[in-house]
Amino acid sequence: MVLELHVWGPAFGLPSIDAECIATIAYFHRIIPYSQWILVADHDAPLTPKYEFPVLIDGIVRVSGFHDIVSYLRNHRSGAYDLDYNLTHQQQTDRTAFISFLQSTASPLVDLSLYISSENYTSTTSSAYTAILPWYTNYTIPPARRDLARARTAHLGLSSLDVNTAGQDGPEVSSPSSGFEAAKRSAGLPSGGRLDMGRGKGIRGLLSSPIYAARFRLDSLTNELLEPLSDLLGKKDYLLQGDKPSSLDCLAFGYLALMFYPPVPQAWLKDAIQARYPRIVRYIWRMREELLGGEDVKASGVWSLSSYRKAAEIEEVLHNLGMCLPWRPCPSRSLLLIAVGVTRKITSNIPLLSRLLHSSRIVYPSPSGTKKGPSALPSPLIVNSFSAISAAIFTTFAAIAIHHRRSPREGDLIFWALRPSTGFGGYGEAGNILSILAGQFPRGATRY
Amino acid sequence: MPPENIERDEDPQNDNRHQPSRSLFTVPAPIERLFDRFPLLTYPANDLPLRAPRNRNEHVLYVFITLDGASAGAPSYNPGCLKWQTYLKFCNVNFRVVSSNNHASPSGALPFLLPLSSDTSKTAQAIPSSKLQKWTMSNSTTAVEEPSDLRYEAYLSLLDHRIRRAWLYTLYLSPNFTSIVEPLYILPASVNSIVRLTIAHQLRTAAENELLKFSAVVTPDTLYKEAEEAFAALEILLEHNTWFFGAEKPGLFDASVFAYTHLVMDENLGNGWIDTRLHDAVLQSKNLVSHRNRILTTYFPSA
Repeated sequence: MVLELHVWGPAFGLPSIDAECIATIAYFHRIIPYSQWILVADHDAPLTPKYEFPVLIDGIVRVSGFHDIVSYLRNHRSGAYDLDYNLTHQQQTDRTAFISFLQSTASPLVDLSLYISSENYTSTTSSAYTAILPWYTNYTIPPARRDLARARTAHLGLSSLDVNTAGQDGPEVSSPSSGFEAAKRSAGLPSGGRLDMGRGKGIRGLLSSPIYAARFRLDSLTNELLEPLSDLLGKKDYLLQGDKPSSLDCLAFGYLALMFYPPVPQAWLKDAIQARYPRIVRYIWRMREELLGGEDVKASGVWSLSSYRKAAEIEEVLHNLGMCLPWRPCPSRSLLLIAVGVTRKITSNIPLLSRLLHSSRIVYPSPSGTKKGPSALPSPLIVNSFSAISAAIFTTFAAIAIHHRRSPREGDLIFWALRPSTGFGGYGEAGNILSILAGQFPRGATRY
Repeated sequence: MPPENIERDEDPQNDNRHQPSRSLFTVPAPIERLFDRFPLLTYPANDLPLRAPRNRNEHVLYVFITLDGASAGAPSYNPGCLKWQTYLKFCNVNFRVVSSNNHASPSGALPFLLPLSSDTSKTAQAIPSSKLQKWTMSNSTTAVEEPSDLRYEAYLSLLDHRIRRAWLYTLYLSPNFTSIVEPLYILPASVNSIVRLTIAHQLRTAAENELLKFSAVVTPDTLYKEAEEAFAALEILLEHNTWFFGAEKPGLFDASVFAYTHLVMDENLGNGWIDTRLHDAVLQSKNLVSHRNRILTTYFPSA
């Protein structure tokens, strides 16, 4: 059975635009023979079990994410496709720790460089997406991934890189001189432009201006990742063992490649690597040679495969283009599926509707097997019935108000009740007595 | 009143009565007699409010803790707070814990430390948890530098990400929510059921959002497996050493590990565990269990 790997499409000359996808491709290319796997540049993430790529399809089994795919290959297929089989116990533990370290420190850096920095995003990342996605998904997928990147990096306080939102954050530095600047601007005087930013504020003012403040923070974040990695690499060729790459090398290459190769205008990440970590630069070059055959993957080449159907034709095209990865065209989906997918994405962006239509993305274990403790809070039944009753009351009032608005009465509103015309006739025996009593009153009294 | 007016008023007075000794500020005789009838009584100063800080001769650490626990010096029930509480104890800092909540913190998150200030007129600046290590380094004589192992950061990320995510899930999204979070975080906060429901909802959504940042779909199986791997890795890292990275004395890393292992192993946390998967995972790591017991008996003898 041929293993089928679905990933985000190629970009920046790398086989994918996503770090974990690059890592998985590198892993497959390294250990699985060419004829035993195929690679598909896909874009329909909701079809996958975890809404994300890379996805490995092996028969009916679907596994997603670099970590899960690697452990699936380790436990199935009788361990033939395990890059880490000759690591010592200690090295395997280190691998687990460093994989978690990479995922937690390197992914925010890639997010900041490719998605948050608005200059890089508009000039590089979004155009790279345009090359690998069908036109209709360009309106949904890149912004969604950018929002996710924003959420992941919000705690770093570096939103000033993001010019689109920086304006909403208000004045970034509140120094006495910024008050002067504001007064100057409101008086219509020209305040210093981009070039003499910081003039008159002294060196401290200059350094605390947002670009430089962000730059200091970025440098410290970069060092947090690269220093331990550079120390771990030491004089060796690979991170863990001296002579063979491991799954950690694949993942490290995935992240480092996305920091190093994209031609972004704000290349602080690449500058930092080149200036201070020459060992890491050599490592990236070497890994690209060894893990991916040093090939420059072009999105147009992969895209052009979709016009061929037969495996032999595709092989020939791949050979002619000099591509060494087993690319296959993305299976064409019916118009209906596409329409459903697009509607899904549109509704997921509408605030209230998305709550009603889309189920929670948290998978809970089946409630039958779990016991529940007694809760001191009001039960959901009470809460729901309370909110249902209040909603019903609110709707009734709203309906009455609308009805009254649409058909207003002529003249004054008069409240009236039926009053018996002939005395107290309606009361039977008592009425007779009452009418006698009533007769004793002056006539005007009952009329009010 | 403008000065000219005073002079104009004063001049006729002096002229009429011919009493140059009386000045403007002398109390008139009738009023003086009236006031002499009342004895001058000075009331004693009011007592300080009950909640005012009493002993200012100690540093005060504000953490999530029950009132009984605060007086007994028990460990906090929040991993973030317990980490710093343990670390300060490691460094022999004399401090007192006070039960508090996030709304009381200047940074919006617990713990924070109010250092003892020699000058009572000036209020000391509160120290948030991010600066607590630096503060301890400069204020404690026995504080030790963290070991400079190149794997330090990597293993720390196991705690701060994998184990923390599993902790968030097991505490806030699994059935443990009713048995642990409710008695510890929600019920003490308010007696109003609407407020309680709101807090419960906020806590759960915050945990959900935090987890959804890292994967589009949250499956408990993945989270628990990752945490189990992380505990196994820490187990191997510790091996037969007394403290992590073979250090002489416990440091911040030991405190961070203890913060999670102690709470996960604690049978009596809240009303006890219902979903015990994480609990069982830690109990299998013998080295971590003895590491936790060592810290508990040495530094929290009362608990």
